[in-house]
Amino acid sequence: MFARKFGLLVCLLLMSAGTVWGADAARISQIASKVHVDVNQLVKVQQVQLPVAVSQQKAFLLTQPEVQKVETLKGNNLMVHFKDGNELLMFLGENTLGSNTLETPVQMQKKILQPAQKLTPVKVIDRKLFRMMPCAPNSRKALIFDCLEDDANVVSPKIWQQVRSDLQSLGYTVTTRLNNSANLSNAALIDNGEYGVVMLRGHGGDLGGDFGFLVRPWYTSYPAANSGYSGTIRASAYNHAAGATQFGYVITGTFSSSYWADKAFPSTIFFLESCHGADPGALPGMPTWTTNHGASVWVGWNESVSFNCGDNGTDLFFQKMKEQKTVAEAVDAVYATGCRPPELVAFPSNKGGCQLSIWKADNNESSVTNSRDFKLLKLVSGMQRLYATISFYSAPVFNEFFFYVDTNGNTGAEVLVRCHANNVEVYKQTQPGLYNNKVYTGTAVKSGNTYSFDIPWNTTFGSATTANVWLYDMTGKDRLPDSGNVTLLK
Amino acid sequence: MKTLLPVWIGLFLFILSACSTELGTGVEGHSNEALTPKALVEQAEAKYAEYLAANDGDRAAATEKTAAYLRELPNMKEVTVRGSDNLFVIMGDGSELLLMLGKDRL
Repeated sequence: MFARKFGLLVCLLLMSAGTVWGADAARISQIASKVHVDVNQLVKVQQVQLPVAVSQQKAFLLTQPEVQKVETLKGNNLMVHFKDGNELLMFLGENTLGSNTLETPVQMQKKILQPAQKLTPVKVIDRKLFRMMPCAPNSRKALIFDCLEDDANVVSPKIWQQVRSDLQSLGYTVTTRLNNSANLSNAALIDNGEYGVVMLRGHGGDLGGDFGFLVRPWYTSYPAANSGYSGTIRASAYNHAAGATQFGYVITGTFSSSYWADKAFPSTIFFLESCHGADPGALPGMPTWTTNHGASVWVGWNESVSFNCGDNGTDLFFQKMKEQKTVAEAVDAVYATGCRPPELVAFPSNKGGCQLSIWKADNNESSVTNSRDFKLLKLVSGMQRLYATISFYSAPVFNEFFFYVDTNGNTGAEVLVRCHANNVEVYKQTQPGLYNNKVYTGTAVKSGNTYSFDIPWNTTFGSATTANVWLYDMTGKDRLPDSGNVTLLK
Repeated sequence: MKTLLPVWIGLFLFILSACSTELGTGVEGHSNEALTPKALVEQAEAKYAEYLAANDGDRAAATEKTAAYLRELPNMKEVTVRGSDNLFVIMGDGSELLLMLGKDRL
């Protein structure tokens, strides 16, 4: 009798334990997610060797009540056997498909420095292939995605208005997504907009190896797990407009890799006015994916930031960008305000030299042939040179047009760049209106509807630090801009 | 033997209860009544504000203490600190939530 009762008790205990230890799909997903995130953080943030990180995660898995056995496979991958019979192969190693493990500069250098089998003398150097351009966005479209326009705002006018004004003064066309327009569906389209500048303002969080950015709308109650989009996590934060803590979805690195894969970013400058936007713990996720997908630089705060430091930091950063400073100079200016910690940082750190180009558009004039009709001028300076790209309303066909530069602020140009189909000639003024002193000849490149060249700053402009530029075509009678000029700083 | 039956049943229920509590939530000695996410968020915010004041505005300390408090709540599977002001919570039913604590933060 006693034995039968004891047997029944053991049976019931085992059944209950089985229920508790059973690893349902959700629990397996959680465990797997935690292991992947933690390995990512250990390796990329804490610089722990991959085998050590995987070994630590194996030990963690073995402490989980649902796990029966963990095998280490070749390539630092793990096979997890659960007590309910489920199995999971976890690709944690470096040789996995879809791994976003980055090569370090040293690793890349080693590959580049491998001795060539046979060296072939170069006969012709194609100038186009070796044209170095300063780091600057290749699109004059900008996006301001402000999830908190109706929330706390410290500066007046509101920060999104100030940023828009700064960008417009450089010739950017600015699209705004404010409040409930700053939602998942519009966030998913950020790559399609081909923006040269993306400014995101909202609550942000460090997800441990990834960055989470809270988008609109707010929910008064805990929303459904399925947002309709991949790579979202439910989050809560204080909504000043409602005076209560509410819920929403954060987008993660999985979201960006799922939805920002249609078009490569055109050397976009991403600016995150949010907490943890460039937190070392968040960089391996969305920021890394975005910069690997064409963005030139990702600027954000490396910890929690207040509305005061956030808004004022953004204000100063874009003011400096408007003054044609580099990202590093703008970041330094914010640092100098003493609003730290946290600090505003640029990622990758070697992209601090990025800057905004100056753009000037010109209407399609019916009286001017499209092949001679100026459409858009892009100017940027860097590496001691001036870089110009001129777009036309159709493929350019001309003998010559003029690129005038005033360097002293007086009426009239001191420098004339004669732009021919294949080259440019730089002349300095010898008498008012006469340009006979040729100081430089360089190549020009035509591609599609664009024509571009670069000229040395010092040879062309001497010690001047300002170039006021306008274009003029004597044959087509077109001028860009129609009056005045476009100012580029050295 | 018959007199021992209630004792065995009692012992069984006690072990089962302890076992479920230990494995399911990591919390002992609390009732198993789960908080709603809304109540959880409200409690977390209130505790965070309290700890922030008690720690002279030290957000990291307040976040750690809030995490410790949440871990003691019933039906809480996992609470992870994700930098200052951020907690990642997995509730007993597997639901996840990123708590962005505090009012003066982006």
